[in-house]
Amino acid sequence: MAALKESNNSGKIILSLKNINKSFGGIRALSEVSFDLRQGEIHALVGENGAGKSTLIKIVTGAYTADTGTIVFNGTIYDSLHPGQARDLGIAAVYQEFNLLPELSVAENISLGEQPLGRGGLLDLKARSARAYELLEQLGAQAHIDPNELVKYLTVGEQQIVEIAKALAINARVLIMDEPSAVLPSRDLDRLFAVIRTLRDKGHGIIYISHRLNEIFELAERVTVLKDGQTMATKVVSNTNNAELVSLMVGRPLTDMYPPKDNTPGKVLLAVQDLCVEGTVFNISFEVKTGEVVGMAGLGGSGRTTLCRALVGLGSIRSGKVLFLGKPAPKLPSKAAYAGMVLVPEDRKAYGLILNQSMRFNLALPNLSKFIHMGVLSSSAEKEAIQKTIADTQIKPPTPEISTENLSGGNQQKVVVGKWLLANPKLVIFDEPTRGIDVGAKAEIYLRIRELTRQGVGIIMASSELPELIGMSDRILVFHEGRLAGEVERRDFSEETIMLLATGTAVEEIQSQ
Amino acid sequence: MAVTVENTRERYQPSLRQWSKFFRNNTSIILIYVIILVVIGAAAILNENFRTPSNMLNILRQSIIIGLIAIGQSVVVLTGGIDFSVAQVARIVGLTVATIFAAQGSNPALILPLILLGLFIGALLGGFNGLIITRTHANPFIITFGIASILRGVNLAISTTPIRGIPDPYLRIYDFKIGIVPANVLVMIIMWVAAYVFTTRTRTGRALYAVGGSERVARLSAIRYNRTLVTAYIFSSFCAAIAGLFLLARTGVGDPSAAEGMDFQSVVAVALGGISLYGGRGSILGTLGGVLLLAALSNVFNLLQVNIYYQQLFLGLIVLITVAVYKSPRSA
Amino acid sequence: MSATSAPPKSSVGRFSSFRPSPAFVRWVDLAGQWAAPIMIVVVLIIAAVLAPAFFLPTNLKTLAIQIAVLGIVSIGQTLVLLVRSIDLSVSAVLALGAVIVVQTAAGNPLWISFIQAFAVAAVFGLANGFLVAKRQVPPFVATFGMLVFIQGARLAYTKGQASGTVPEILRAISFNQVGPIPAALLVWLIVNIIVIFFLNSTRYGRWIYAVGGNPSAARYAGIRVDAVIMAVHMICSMLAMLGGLVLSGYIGYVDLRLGADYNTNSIAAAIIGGTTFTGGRGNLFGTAAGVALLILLLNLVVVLGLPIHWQYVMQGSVLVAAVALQGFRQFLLSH
Repeated sequence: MAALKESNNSGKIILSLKNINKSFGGIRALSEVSFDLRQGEIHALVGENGAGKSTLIKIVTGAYTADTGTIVFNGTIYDSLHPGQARDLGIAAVYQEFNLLPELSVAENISLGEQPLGRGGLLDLKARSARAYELLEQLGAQAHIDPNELVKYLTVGEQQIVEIAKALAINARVLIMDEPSAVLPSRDLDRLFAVIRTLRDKGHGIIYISHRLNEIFELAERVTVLKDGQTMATKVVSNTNNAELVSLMVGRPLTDMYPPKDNTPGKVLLAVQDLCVEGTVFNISFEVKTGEVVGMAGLGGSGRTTLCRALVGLGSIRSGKVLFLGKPAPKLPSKAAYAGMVLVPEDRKAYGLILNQSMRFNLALPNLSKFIHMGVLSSSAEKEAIQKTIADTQIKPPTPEISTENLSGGNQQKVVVGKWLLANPKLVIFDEPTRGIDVGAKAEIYLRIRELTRQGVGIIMASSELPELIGMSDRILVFHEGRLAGEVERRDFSEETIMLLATGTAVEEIQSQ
Repeated sequence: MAVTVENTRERYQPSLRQWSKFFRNNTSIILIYVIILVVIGAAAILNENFRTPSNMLNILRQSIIIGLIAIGQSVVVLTGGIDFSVAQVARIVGLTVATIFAAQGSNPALILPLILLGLFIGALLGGFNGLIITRTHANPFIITFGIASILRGVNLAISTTPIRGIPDPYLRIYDFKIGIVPANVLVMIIMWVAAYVFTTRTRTGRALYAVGGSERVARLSAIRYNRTLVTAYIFSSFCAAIAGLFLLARTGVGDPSAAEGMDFQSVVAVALGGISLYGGRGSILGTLGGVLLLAALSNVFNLLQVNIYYQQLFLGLIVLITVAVYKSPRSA
Repeated sequence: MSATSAPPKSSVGRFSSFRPSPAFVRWVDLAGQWAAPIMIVVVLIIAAVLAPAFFLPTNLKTLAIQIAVLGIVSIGQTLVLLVRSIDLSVSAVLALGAVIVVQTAAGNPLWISFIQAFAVAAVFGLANGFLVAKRQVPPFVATFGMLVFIQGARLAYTKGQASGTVPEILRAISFNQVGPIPAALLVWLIVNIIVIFFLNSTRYGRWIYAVGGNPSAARYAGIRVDAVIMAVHMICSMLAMLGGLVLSGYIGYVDLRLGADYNTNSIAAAIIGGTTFTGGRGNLFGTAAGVALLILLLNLVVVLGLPIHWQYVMQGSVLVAAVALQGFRQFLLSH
């Protein structure tokens, strides 16, 4: 198979998506998206969190069905695919969560379910190993991965290669890699890239999703930028640069959904000094003042969530100090909550709510000591406080006994926020406060946040929505790969600046914009 | 130019590394056999009654029945469940066969058909277990526990006293020798080998590991998840049925208290042998070790005339220590 | 990663062809909720028709005491199930109760023996809780191991021979009448009231429901999850101990074969009453109904003159039916 790098324009188109539309409930995820992939091409897909990359990929692999639009694969037109069909056609995806069985060998994982049979109907172990070896050889990785080794003893990078080998085993012509470098330490990146290039040279088509723009310039032939569910542009990589891509990814008119910034920061509430967490977050130092909103920006894997959890005692701090009101911060969530430091987590269903319980139960849960009268919970005190919170946060429907699993996403989030508001915190850390929430609920949450700052509460807001960060924060810390890439003052707020920092663009490059 | 797998393996694995890999991949099996050697060695040195060949043979004979049950239990535990009904299945097969023999005047012609019937009953009960568990997504521990309770009652209904009237040819099944090798030892060897081949060299056997390892991954591959689970429970009850038939031949009567406690013992043997109670990991060879160790320990205790109650306490302690030490691979 | 809402349809849809209609789901859900009371009525009717001896005062007294004993144990089991755990060692702890009191009664004031008994139970409960919470041992396995260990310990301690009659006070709290009802029933009612109050009106009760409903969210909300689990296991073992004391008060002497069935029955009672294995859902009224149903069924077997082994069949069937139904109901509701 001749290398097609020079002549990628003459590579046949194997996959083409035309005018794809997809909505969930009332929310439009993709609108009129078109995308094509050639043989022997690495085509990168970039965009912010929520731009629609995942949705698009799921339509290609058949996990979702598009509302309108067509998929053309090798000349045949399809309205939709289902997963078995996509698999048979030769479309495979490698995600961040691997589908491997760690206790079994590489060869067995690759052949799982269809292991080769030999004499007497028993498994032919030699053939199984040989098959694995062949596939690894096609990827150029046969020298470092032993087909008979148990997967649990491989490094993450090697496991990823095994996942790719699995895709080859089902004769995949189209390989989708979803943020593959996010799970790899940098030394394994070269090997991954070598494997991907080998596949391309053999004529496979590869869709490569990443937010690390430098990788895209190193690997891809073409790049498509998605923003808010639309294709902004498809460019030949050699004809573009970081700045152009970033400006395509971001840049929206600022709405006036955000309350006016009338808060005045006071004295230092939280001081973080040289904090290292769990081997993924390094040397973070910053301060938060009372009445201040500190935003945290960054793309996937930047370490914001790990940092936020560590601040309230949910994660292992390796070194560094956290001082709250001048004293060392508590190391347990219960103590942190008692001291006034609370976290509104990213995944509200998994960590924010007891879904099978009522709104009242959830709102009251961290505040029970307030309702104790003579050793017992006073239902009148509880009711009063709950009613007030429901009114304050405008939860709909305002019935305390309704089970939280029946609430909309926005109202669920209001319950999570509400329960901590009731606790009169001093510092509230929000991790993706408005993810998956309708516009009306968003505005209300922004109002709550503003009220908190008026009362002198310090706020940390980690978010993937740049407009939100710009609209609410006084300062924005930008994270990249576990480190602070930079701090942006209010006067310098711009989506482009933030995104450039978040994608690891060097500071000098930014200053020359 | 075909690069054979052997060549490539040697290329990146000098033999010292091969040995260390072998140890790493098989630690729990190696451990259990080392412990057996230590126990047997110590007992042989310290107690003269222990080291007679007839005593050693005794240990082997003691492990035949429980070994059969443990084979079946291993298969279920590999899928991440436990089968608590095995003892009662063994019992019901024995009692049913004995009852029919007794009612038909110990007719030797019935031997083969009744053996087949016994095996069929085992498979049927296993299928029942498997179907309930897969169709209702209920907790396998409790379901088999409940089935065991039901069977216990049925067994009592069949008989509360030993049933006599087993034809002679059947009784000789257990004892006769082919040359100098007792037939029962032979069957034991065959079963263990068959079980080993099943769990390492057949698609269904390997599917057990996938099913126990991760439901998500198993379902995403070409493995038939429900079918594998049902097969596991059928196999387990089938082995229990074989054990029940053997017990019948050994004791010579339909025994209403047959196989008492073997449900729990089989789980202990499986756990000691390194098969994780979470499923997806471990080997039949390990279970063999667990069975032998339990038999050896029981033998030692009897020779030392240790109170049977202390034996039970010790057993429970072993289980607790084992589970406290083998932490879950999925723990946070 | 992309943040668009609405996760894809459940994996079940992809892998099985089973598509239950909404009406079916609702029917199963209702069946799960109302099974116990309906069955109780059915059993009482059958008894009235087929075995009037059921309603004799002596039988009713037996019924009452048996309900009380199983009831006390089931309260503890319910609490443990509420935190997503289970306790299979209750039968052993129950059997241990009388043994400890009798063996230590010689030469000591009675209340010391009682304290000793409850202290031992607390230690076992703590061990259970520790294994489950801190070692992440599956609760079934951990408590089963404890079961065998305690049984062995008890047999070793008594050397297989139990002796002695039970102190008078145990007879008093169990067998003697307080007005029209036996004391045991009163004990059960009191424990019920205390625990119901505890669950509904104290923050500890809320913590229990939170830990069972979503342990991660409970942790994020500042609840000390491990402490809750260990405490609940301790309470369960102590309640099992209490049940054992009441039971021996009823029987009048120490019996080694005591208590074997209290494991399956306490679990079955809780499950019938709507408590789930997955935690965070259940209440003591349901458990009480489950207890009543089970005891009535078992007693019916005796009164109808059926051989005693049908009791085993009954217990097992009820357990399997209850677990299967609840498992199925949960599965339907969550997909």
